[in-house]
Amino acid sequence: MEVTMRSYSESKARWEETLRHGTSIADLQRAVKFNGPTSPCVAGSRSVCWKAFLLFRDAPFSHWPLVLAESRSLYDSLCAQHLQYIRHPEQLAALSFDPLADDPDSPWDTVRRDEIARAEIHQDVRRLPDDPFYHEEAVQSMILDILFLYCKLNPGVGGYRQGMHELLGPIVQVVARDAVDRNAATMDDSADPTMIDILDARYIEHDSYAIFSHLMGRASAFYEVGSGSESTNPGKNTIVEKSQYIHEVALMKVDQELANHLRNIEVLPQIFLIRWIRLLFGREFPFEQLLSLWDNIFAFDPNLDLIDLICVAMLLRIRWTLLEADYSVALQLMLKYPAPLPPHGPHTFVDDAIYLRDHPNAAGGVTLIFKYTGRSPTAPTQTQKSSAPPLQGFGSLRQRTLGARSPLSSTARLLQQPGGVEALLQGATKNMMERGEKLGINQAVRDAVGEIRRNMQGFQEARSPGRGRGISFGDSRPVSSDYVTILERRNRRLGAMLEESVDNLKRLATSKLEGDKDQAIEALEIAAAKVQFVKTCLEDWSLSLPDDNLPAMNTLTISSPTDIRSPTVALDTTPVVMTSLAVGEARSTLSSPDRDPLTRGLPTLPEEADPAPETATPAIDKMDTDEAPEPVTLSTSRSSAAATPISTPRSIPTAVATDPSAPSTPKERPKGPIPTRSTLAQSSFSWMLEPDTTLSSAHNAFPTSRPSSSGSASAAAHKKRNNPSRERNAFLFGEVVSSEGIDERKLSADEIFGLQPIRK
Amino acid sequence: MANDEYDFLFKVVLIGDSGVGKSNLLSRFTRNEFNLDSKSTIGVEFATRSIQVDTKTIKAQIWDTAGQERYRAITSAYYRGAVGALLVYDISKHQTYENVTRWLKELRDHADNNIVIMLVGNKSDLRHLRAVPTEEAKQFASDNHLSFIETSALDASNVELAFQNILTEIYRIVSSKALEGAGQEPNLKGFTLSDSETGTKEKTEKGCCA
Repeated sequence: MEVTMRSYSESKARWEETLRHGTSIADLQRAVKFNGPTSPCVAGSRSVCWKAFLLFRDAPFSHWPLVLAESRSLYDSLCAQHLQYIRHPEQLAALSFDPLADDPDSPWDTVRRDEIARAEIHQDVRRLPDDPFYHEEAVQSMILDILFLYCKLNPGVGGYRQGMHELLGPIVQVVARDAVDRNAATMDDSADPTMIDILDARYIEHDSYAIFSHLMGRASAFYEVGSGSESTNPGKNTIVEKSQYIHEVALMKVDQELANHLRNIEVLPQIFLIRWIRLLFGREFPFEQLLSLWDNIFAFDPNLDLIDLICVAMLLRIRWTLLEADYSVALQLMLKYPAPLPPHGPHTFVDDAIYLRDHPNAAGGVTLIFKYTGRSPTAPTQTQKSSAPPLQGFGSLRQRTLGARSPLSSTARLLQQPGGVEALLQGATKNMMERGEKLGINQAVRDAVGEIRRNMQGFQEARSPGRGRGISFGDSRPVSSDYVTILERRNRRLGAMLEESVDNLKRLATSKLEGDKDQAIEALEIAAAKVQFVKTCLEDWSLSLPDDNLPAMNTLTISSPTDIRSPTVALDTTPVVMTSLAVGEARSTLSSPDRDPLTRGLPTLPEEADPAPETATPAIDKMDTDEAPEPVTLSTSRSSAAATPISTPRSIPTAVATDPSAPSTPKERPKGPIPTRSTLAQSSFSWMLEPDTTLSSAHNAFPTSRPSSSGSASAAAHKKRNNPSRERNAFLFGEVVSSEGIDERKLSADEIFGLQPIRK
Repeated sequence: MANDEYDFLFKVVLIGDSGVGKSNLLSRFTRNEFNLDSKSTIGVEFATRSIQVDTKTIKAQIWDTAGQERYRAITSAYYRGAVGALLVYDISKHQTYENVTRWLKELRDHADNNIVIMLVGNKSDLRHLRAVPTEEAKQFASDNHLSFIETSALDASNVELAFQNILTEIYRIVSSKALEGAGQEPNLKGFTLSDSETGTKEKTEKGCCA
């Protein structure tokens, strides 16, 4: 611990630096908010801030020592009560109790039980992260005692739960770092007595306990599992409920496309959220970044109400990658969350969460996605195309809500031609951005511009009349000459916007990137975002364009570097050609009623909820009420989804790899919301059974949810059968003979392997 | 790892008491790494590795979870789709061996009936601390129709073999069943993943091993 403690003079300087910001909660919150180098948590005493946020909350500065004195004496009495015999076993021996008596009230018995509990805790304390601090013996015993006392005092939590130790660890470390040695302070005449009180090294353990138990006041709910087992008592599983809420309600509200995608690929949110939440993101970020995240959580959310939205914000930042990910890719991404780069370090997730709390709707989601990725998520086309057959197993909430409105048949999807202007533009900008990162930016810009042009031309050729008309576009909005005029005006403005972006791209290209590369990348992103925006507007003509005087794109951009816009570079005519082409195409897209069924029907945003950031406010509440499942209905809706024969081709955890050419290899999940012991026919092995001549019920349940053509033969053959008669044939392992003996001993298969189905 | 094409994908779960070495078995098998002070698992981790059996490539998706008995928030998700389970105990801690029956019950309650189970006595390097005789565990495994092996994630002995055995066993079951139905059923080729899958997968694979 001495290793960790700062020198007295440094601690003192940090104390003074902290107080410089003020001592009220509001002062400190303000100072911590941006978490830059001047934050009192960084330049000052983080432990003082944490104590202020969590322990002193309403107490004036003069009362701080009193608050601590109280909690410290409480801790002392707890130690006396519960640790006496553990710390001083000789006192136990001096008692007149028979150590061998089988008396539950005997202190011997208590100590024995306590030692078992402590052994369990100690096993994890030994495995705290690599930081040498945690492996000092004094620190380990401190952490062990705190956890033990906490569990003694809170039997309702159900004893020690793995993960608590990693919540406590950073607290002890932060408190210990700032601590001052009272003796050293006595040499210093100018020492602030309050400082010595607050930072007294003798009370590191006491104060850590106080902070930890305050935190656990809320966080303990993340560790509750309920009394029954999961199958008998699913409702009591707080973390699972919370995870489902985050996915099905919170995320659904702000990014329906992503929420649906996660459901379609069958990622159960608790798989990754359990660690995110229980450790307060402790394993997701590097230690110092984690501390700054906690700074902001403690400052603005001491009751941990924003945790759900922080999770949502984290998902939003990686939403593009997630949308293209299958089950295992997505899971690996979320279990190994990509480190957010400065200046948008993890602490900014708290800002995002606050923003989402105030904008709990699609527009709020769009704003954040746009802010961090430069792309706005109104264009499902591309992602849907690239991620396996879309909308498989999309059988629950959303389909019911949208069902009548969206012409989502597999034929419609198969008819899907390469995108439309929107997809072309989006594809091109995406490529551009990717390549801009990988290669030199110059080349990337030139290529991208060229590509857009080529695509446009190709698109124009390809876009022959054959595409099915009649899917009404804006059916409630008759196309009159007024509309045509409006659309023409709108298109001109969109064209102008595109032109501006193209100009900027050209300038970037011609500037040869003299200057700041980051700035160039940013400019690229902005240009891409603008193109994206135009694409969005083209896609949904009901979007109002931003006021000319107040270009929305600029209000939204992440600081647009002005030097790149400087009109010094002569314009090439090429991009203008592209632009006018694009606008021409756009017009035809808009005026013809055959907008892609895919684009239209995708489960992103209902038309009435306007996803574009600048039109955010008006559209929103509908979104809330119409689209978001109520929290109360959550578990049932989830259950019904699970009970339906969902066919998701990428459901990885099955026995068999699927063939994309036969995308529907539906693996029926175990029936019912909670998988109980399933029969073979219901299991993921069931496809191994002999073929059934009758179509399974699973087959018929959702005919439209299956691709009607591609690879249907093999797909059908691998579908799980659900014929009850199979259960009698279900003995699976009997005939297997393996020579893979163990210990070189030739055993019959029955001896080696579990050839009998386990009996209940 | 060179490419991510595979003929079969098997999900295998690691279960057993806290501290018996599940995570290290996983890291030894998938990354050939061992960490004496590895952190306790919170929630789940998973990793993949492909092996060859006969001419087939089998991709093992191995899931690892917290061993703490009460830590059951994710049970159903954890066992869903699992076709194999390594039930791990610590040969130097008898309690972890005694708890094997509880884990078997858990498997009975939550996993597929036909899941292939292998009992794994880990930490076989701790010879001087052995608390569970090999013969006793072998007998237990045989009585309960489990396969059995002793491993050491620390010195890597038998780790490869343990996974190889269970994956081969699963493969034999799967392929014998598939052959049986070969008349009417289309064949296993249908399960081969095509290249379209390869790109994304490959990328992640690298990430996961970083």
